[in-house]
Amino acid sequence: MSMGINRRSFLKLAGAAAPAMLLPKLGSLIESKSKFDSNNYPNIIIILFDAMSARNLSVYGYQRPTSPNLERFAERATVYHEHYSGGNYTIPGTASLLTGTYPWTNRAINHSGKVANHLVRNNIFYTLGKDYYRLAFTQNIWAQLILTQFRSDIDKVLSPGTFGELNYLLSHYFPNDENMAARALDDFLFKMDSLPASLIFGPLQRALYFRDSARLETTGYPRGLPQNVNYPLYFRLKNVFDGLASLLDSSPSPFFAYLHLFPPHAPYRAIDKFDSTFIDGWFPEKKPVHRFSDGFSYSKLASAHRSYDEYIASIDWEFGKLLDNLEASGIFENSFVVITSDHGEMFERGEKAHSTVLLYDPVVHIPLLVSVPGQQIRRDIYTPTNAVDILPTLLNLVGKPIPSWAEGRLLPGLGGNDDYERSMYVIEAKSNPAFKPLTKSTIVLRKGNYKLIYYTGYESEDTFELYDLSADIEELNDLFPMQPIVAGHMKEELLDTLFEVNKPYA
Amino acid sequence: MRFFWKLPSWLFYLSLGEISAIFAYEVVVNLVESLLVLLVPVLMSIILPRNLFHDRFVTRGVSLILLGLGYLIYLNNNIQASATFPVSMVRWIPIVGIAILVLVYLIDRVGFIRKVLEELASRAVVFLYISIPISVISILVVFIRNEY
Repeated sequence: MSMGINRRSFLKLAGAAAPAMLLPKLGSLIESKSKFDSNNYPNIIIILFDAMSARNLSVYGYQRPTSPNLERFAERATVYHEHYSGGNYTIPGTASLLTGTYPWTNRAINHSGKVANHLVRNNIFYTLGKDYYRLAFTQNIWAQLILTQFRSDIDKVLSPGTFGELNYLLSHYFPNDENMAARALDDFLFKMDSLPASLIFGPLQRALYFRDSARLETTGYPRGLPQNVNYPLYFRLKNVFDGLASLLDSSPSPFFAYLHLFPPHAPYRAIDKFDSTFIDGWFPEKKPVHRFSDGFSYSKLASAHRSYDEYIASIDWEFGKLLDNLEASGIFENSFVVITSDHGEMFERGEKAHSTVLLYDPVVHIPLLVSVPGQQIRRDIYTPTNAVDILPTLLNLVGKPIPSWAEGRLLPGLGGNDDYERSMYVIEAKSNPAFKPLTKSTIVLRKGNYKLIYYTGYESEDTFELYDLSADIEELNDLFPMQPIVAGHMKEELLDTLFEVNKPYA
Repeated sequence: MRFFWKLPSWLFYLSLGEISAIFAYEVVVNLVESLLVLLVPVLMSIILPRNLFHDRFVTRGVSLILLGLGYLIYLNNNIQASATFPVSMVRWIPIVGIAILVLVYLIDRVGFIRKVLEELASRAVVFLYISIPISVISILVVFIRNEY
């Protein structure tokens, strides 16, 4: 028998070698699957609705029926009635949640800002560790800037355009350097809300994008398809929620999924079922125009308020279907499901939306509902809580150690105590350099029923406002001059804390 | 120029290394755009009869690029964020293109302007000594950041 290599034996060898080459890949898949299936950790799903104020949700008692499906979800969840964001727009709000630290610590305080480089490993993905398949998706480019900072700790980061109808973002073509590519390309050279710095490709991209967006089928959306207004991205709510259901269904267990959806962020694009549904004769309370506001008229604010409510109802409708899908697939029963937001939205005192220095409750009071596996009853918690509490709570729930750098506490009802007099903060400092002490900022100290608002660096003199939220939920009666003892104690505590957090940057 | 307009806000939260990386992306995109712009007079000098463009490459090339870039700046300023395709502007592009070519031909016939353009072109060469090394470094930076 010939031992040499002839054409026939070579073909046989090649035939055998081809599937053999797949074996290592197959092996790694089996290993990966078995690695995630081998432990008993429940899944964790965080669904974050961008710019969703608790004040506009019927699950929190709002008079318009904006969130019947969240109410359904709440029947098997712990509902936090006094939950606050870490900041009043995406960067500080998202960073606080994901790092468990306040913006004055993680330094994500500016528009398009970021978590300080030396603190990047202080994030929820890293602390949960490799026992979890860690998955992240956001439609918000600024949230993506934060997520891509944590890229090495996340198993899969989806592009913001995933599940979208139209996507002209460029940074996802640079997966190894997505953060810097997003800053250079999507946020600068090809920026949509200002003149593009690219003279040839910029206008070309715009022209093509506008051509394609004009051709989009808008059936079911009387005000046009939802979009990310500052970036070239359109989407349909149904496709996004259906996509998320499939994504979760196909992810290896146990998984940790951080799903940060752009709606109900402006522009408010309700589906036809809810468009104009809240022309109901009800109007929000008229409040005095604040000296720091943009001076929008009451009628404009009331109209935007209504559109916002209709958009929330549309999102809630789709969320209901996602909930059904999660229940049908069995994922819900085996998961911690967290519903929250990164910040709220305000339509009062002459101010619209959230990019403001005003930190009244509509812009910082956000929803938090947590369902634990097997939970069958609703539980209501009225102790004030903050976005920084989510990281330590989730780690504690799955038996992971809580790192010393985490600034939050365990949420009451999920391992924590009901400490109603606990102090917690909300910080706005977008005009303050991240590398310097906070000297131009609005800071809220919430303690018990009282809320102290501190404005510094905007005028020649710093100013304070104090509200008793138990008696004045609309924050109309400033008690700062009338309750000097409470005001004095809270002012001292806030200024002492600010002095301490400013020390490393002084 | 827009880089320096954005620089103060980047200095609020980005390190110098990160700002340099953004600059590298910008230079690479600008290099590609510059080569595309250069390609137009080069192709014209190849395609058109020698006496129309090739023999007057410097003056006609410079005037073509200046007028063309001016029109691009106009387009850039006017295709603003609105969800409509700028149909009327696109319809004008061929007409403006022909008008630019006519202007290029006429400009070259005015001695004073021709002299100015030649002087401008000869002095602009100095920018190559800066832009070529920066472009090469930027290409390397973008390549390395995306490969490693």
